[in-house]
Amino acid sequence: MIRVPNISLDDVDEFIDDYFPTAGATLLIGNVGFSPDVLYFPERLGPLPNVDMRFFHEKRPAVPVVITQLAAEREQQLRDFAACPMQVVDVRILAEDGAPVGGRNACMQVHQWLNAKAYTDVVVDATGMSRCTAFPIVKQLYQLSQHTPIRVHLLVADSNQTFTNVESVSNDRGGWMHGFPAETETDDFSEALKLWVVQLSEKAGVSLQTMFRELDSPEEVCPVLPFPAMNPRRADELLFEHREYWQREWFESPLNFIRAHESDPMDVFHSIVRLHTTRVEALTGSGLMSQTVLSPVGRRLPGIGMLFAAISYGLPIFYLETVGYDVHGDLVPGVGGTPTHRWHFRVDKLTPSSD
Amino acid sequence: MNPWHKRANEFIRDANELLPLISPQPIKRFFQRESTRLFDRLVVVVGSPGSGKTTLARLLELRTLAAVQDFKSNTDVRELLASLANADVLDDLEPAVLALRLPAGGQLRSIWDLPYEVRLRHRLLRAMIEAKTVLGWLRAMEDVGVDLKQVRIITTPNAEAARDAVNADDLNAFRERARMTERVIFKLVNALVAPAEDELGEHLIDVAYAPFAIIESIEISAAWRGRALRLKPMVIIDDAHELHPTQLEDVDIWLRDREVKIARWMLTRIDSLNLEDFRRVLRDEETISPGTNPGRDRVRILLQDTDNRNRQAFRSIAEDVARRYLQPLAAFHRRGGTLSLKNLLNTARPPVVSDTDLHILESENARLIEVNQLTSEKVQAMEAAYPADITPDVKAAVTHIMLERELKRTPQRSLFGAPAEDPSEEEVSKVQRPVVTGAELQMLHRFDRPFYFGFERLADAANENIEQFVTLASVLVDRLETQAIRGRPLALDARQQHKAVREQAMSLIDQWDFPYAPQVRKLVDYIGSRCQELTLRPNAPLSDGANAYGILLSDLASLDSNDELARVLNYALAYQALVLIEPYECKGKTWALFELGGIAIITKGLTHSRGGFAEGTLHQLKASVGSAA
Repeated sequence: MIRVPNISLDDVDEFIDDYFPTAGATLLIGNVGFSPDVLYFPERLGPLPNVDMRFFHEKRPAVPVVITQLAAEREQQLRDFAACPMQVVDVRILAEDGAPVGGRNACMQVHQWLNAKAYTDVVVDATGMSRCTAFPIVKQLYQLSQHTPIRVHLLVADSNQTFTNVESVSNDRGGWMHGFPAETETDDFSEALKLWVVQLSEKAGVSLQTMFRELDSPEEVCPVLPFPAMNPRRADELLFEHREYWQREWFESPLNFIRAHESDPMDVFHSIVRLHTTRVEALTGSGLMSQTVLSPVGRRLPGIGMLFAAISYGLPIFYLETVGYDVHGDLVPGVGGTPTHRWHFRVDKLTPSSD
Repeated sequence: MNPWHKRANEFIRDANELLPLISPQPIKRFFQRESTRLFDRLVVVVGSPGSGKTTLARLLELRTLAAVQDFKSNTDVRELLASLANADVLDDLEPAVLALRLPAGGQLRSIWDLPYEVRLRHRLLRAMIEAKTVLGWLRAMEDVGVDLKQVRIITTPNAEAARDAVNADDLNAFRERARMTERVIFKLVNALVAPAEDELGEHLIDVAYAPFAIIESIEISAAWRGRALRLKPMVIIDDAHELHPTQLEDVDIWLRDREVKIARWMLTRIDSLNLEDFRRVLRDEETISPGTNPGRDRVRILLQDTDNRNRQAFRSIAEDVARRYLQPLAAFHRRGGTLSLKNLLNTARPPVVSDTDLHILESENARLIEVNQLTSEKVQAMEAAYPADITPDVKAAVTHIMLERELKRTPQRSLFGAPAEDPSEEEVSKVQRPVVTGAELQMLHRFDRPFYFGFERLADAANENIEQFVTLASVLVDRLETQAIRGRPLALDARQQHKAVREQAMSLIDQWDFPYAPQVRKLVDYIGSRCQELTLRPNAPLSDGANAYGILLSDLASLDSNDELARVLNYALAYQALVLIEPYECKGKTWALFELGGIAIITKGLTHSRGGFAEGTLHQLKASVGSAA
């Protein structure tokens, strides 16, 4: 199994305080989000003279004005932290025809930033970043780190108190995330048996079904359920909410469910890796091809586990892009403070381990 | 397998399960429409999700056609097979077409995002479509047990060099050539940062691939089915709306070329066309650009009948679909006989409001009679003109409407004024079915009297979309199945049906998850509330009320296609939240009607009948979705 070096909670803060002041030229890549958590890491890293802060401003077509206003406020707060000149670049998430292009645009942008100056360390702060931009650039930096001495860090902060009245609106067409395509799309692998590992999430029924259909009804589905979770009944509630799909259309039984810690990406990572490697072993023995497809839906932290599984084992990611947000009622800006969950991963140090 | 839960036929993989489920009437209608032009030029099939595009494609796949032999004596499938034979899809019950359904999204669309000049991107797209199609044909043949050694590629005469370029003489080399093209383009599309155009070098040689220009047919020797078969190769580009508009335009030009010998269809949702183009399709017009003759090179077929709704035809299709979908359900089998969903639902007796509510209505009527100074004979004469089959509560509600109309018609009289004039015979006889429906709708809103029950109203709610019908009806079938399992009578009363269908409709709208869905919900709410206001007016001026929002056609023409409202309307029409009817002549003006879709009509408690609309402006519509008016 591949090992992903990681630390969490206060260790992350200690690491940041100890390591980065003495590191070489460091590039921090973040996103101007609307959650107060997006400020947490830039507040610590921005004042350092060796850190250049670069931010995406993800542009989507159907975003309510309250959210754009909040994002503008965050941008100003981020600027206040920066010791070196900060750059914010618009990244279009959807093309004019609705096709997802965020990943490709983000990679192009990172490519330009890296060409503009030599860095010893690159930090991706995925806290307010969409999966469609964060995942491809993490993979891009991982690939870069395999043939250059660059050190790649991934930071994520997440709070339990999120905006409950903000719902994301999904695209109606699924797609392979940029840089994470499935070889089953090519004729050489068309016979592979597909296993779809999908994170279950509240109110995502239609998205789940769209993905299932567009994946051409995978042979097996393993839904990932959040357990342990802050709300211990969340996994049961999700099963109940999506019962029509897993019982009647995917024909899955509870034996296929993966239960993984709601806020521990490594638990998700290990569960997927165990499942994937065992299945490949079993099917290869009988001369069949196996293809594990991952779909992160809903909360951020389990998705990070999927990202590492995808990078480490070359797994494809199928997803639906968020095209906008729907805000019910007022959007009360949350109070900053220490996010409940903080993680740090060394992306360039993914190494095979014996366990 | 419960087809009611599968909803879309594309989830049913086995051809043997699929064939008996396909209702022959829409297929027959489709093939009859353009019978002579379907396989020799580009055919563009336009329809909303669930209108049957993918079912058509599935039907033409080799694995489906190869299975028809097993159904030759099946009476349920015979009519379907006859339609396929008439369209030359089958030849003596053997496949005559080798079709590949190629989803257009994802990889094909991504080619557009490569940082290359437009012509090269188009070249890559065409090569990718051709490679994937060739590979798909070979796979389709292998899937049904054809040994590729028995296959011969027939190409146009005098195309030896091109034939060599695609290795058409050796099937293994033919496949390898296509795979090589596919691999090269796959790699380019999926590179995190694509190589620059000047770094492509020899890759460009691999993507020089154009078999469509030479392949005429594919021959399978007698070793497979006992006689040699010559198949017409075909590509069906599904979900073509997922291509970039410029790509779609290029593919359209390419496939319209008569030099392409294979059959080619593009299936697309209406949102590939902008609102202006869609309106043109509705009006059956085409834009003619220099050097092309779209009417001759390309056939456009709109799957749903938006212009002239033929309610009766769809009800009969829905009845047939329901019969086919009930057949595989074991719980109903045990009851014996052939079950008809129509009969099961239509046995429900019309509901009646409670005595208290009836009393309220009657007292209100008494007051109105007094105000109108009508004698009981006159009221009786008025009520005698109602349809005979209505229940006492509906009768009271109709009387209420008629009295309100009378009140509106006659100026308020003074206490000592002249007695009211007799209503003329002509006016008495005006009480038609729509007024009865209007009365029922008013009672739905006032007394929660069930309205959406019975098979006809269920079928009318489907917008001529089989998937929508199945989705709505599935909740009723589930309840009937439960009755069957419990050994109870197979019946649902009007309230049970109404409640289940309304809950299902509300949950479907709640689940809308597509771009601009929140704005579409707002639009539906706005139009719904305007229609409710008209429907619930005491004198029911539109009889059964309104279900549409009308703006002047000239107003609609001023809508910029980049405006947020245009995008919202595009998705609303694509998902049948709204149906566009235009031109609609009324009151000496030409209108465009945005009629609520069947599901939205149910949630808002409105009529399914067409024609009643609330008048408004584009400005009001913009304000309703919260965009800058």
